Amino acid sequence: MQEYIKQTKTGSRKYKSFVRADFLVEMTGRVCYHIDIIFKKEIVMIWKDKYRLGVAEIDKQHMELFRRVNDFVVTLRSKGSWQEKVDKVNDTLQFMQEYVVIHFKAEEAYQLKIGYTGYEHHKKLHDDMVAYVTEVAEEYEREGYKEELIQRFAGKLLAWLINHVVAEDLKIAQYTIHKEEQK
Amino acid sequence: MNNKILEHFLQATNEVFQMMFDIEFDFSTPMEAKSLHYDEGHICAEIALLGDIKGTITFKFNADTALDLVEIMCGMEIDEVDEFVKSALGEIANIISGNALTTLSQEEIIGDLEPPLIITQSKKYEENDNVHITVVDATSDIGTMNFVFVEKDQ
Repeated sequence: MQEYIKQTKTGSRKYKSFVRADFLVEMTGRVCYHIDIIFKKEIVMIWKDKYRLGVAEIDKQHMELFRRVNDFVVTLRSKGSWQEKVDKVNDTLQFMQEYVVIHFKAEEAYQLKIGYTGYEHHKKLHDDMVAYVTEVAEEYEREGYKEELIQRFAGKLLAWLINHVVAEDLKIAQYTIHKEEQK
Repeated sequence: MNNKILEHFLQATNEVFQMMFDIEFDFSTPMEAKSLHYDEGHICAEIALLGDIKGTITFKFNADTALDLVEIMCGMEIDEVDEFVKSALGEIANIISGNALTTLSQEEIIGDLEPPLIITQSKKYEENDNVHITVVDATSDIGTMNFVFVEKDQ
């Protein structure tokens, strides 16, 4: 079942139904119980089935990348003061930062393997993002781990990543499927 | 900004929103405005356009719509418009504008854009001899947004 969010009859933002692959979570009195289940099972909340491109190798990589980004965003958005969570944020940021590079390299290797014609363009998108991540990480450390900068970074990263997968990576999947059909 | 150029931005908006959110907007007919007031309670992502097109395009979200969009992206409840939300919306505006400029370049209209500026406070524009304001309302299942084109004479 495709994940989506819908307004309840109340029309209030506070009372929504989150319908996920395996769960019906009503944001009512049962909210704490259900949210607890989601975290204990480590569901990647930012991942959606619609991001699946139909090429197992790419989908597997994307799910891992989204898991890393999810850990980072969940930690960043968790309740508590910045002082209380900054160490954990920094740890997840480092894990995520390292994995972004690993993922991009793996995806580029896959593109070369299949002879993807959009490789150069795609690699430039990756290189630009890696440069941005590096720049922010350096500024973050230099400025003494300020929350505002890293919140801005996470918001941009999230939107960029989702768009990149559904728009740019989709082209790789379409190319792969097209080549398979020609065999 | 003539309607042909405007059409590229609206088309890019629907393409990006369909892919990222499964949302499609219905657009109103472009309306010229004499003045414009961004009231509080909205989040405006303003992007300066350079090159063959001079001016700004602003994506004006009401706060609830903005929060709903970011909730869809991150799968968790978001209660307030903070730096995370503003940055995510700015990036969406940036992606849409970049896509619009790409399709415009195929018609040999070459432009560039500056990083998004997020406005959450009151701001007022007045039409004058050098500035023309066009507004398009967009409605969807998730709520409304407005496009504001402030075009400067070449």
